[in-house]
Amino acid sequence: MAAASALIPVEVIVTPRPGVRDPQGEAVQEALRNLGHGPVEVGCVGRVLRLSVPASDEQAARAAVSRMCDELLVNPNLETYEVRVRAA
Amino acid sequence: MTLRAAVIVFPGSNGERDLAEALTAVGFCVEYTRSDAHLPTGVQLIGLPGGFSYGDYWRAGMLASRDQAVRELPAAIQGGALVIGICNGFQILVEAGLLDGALTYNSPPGFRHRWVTVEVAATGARSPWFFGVEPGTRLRLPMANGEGRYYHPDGEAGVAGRVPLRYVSNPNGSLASTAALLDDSGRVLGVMPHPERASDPLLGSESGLAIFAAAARWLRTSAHHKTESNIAPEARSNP
Repeated sequence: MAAASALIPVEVIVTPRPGVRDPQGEAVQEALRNLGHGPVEVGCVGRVLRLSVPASDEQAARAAVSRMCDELLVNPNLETYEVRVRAA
Repeated sequence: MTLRAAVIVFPGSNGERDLAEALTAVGFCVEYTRSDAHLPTGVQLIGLPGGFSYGDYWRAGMLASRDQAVRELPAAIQGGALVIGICNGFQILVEAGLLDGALTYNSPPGFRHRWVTVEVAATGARSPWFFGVEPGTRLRLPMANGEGRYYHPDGEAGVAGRVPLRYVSNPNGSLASTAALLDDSGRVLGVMPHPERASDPLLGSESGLAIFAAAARWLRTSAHHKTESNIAPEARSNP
């Protein structure tokens, strides 16, 4: 019998591609400095998506999420992403 | 000849009426169509209006770019239709992959709403959207966007021959002062400032009408050269 599909919890982190200007990060950095947090540096502002993916194992879940990123979630001109499988 | 246009209405659009009025002013018979419905057949021009779409969640235009009407655009373009996306409509065309590059957060950061002057570049000559419009012509248009900065990973080389309108004074950090972008065919135009909101003297400018009038002129002129065989099948079945 084939391995049953389970819902695997996954986190996708989308961030600006290195070298692409990040005005959101600049704005947040300025606000933090204005609040007195000294020479704090904001690396970037990105987005997190948590989802549960029906897949037989972690590798299949990662592959499925990568397809979602390529099809919709990530604009490769601007952004890059990381997929993390979370502890169930 | 009756010119027919469709304006796609997305959840959150707010510029559809302005766009329909501007198209009507230059002679189009305009119908609205929902973004989750099929495109009407036999239209020569399709407009994606400004405003918002699906809250512009995640990335502006991303969710709308997968709607039914947008998925049918490539076939309509193949069939000879002209397509214009304005502001959020431009973002949707880029997210749908019908125009190259990306639109992202303005730099310096912030929402920009002001009148801007744009200049028609020589590139416009290859597009129906600038048919008979002299390069160097200046248009006075309002802009209103937070994610209107045009970006291309290949820099200026990536937009060579594709920019028909440039900002005279770049307001949002757009690559090469890009205010509008064409696809390879010249039939698909994305424009970030709003020509439809500058289409009547009462609005403070009517110079935006030049773009819609050029498209109408081109369609009327090209119609004389069309034979039955090179009109799209859907156009033939819907006289």
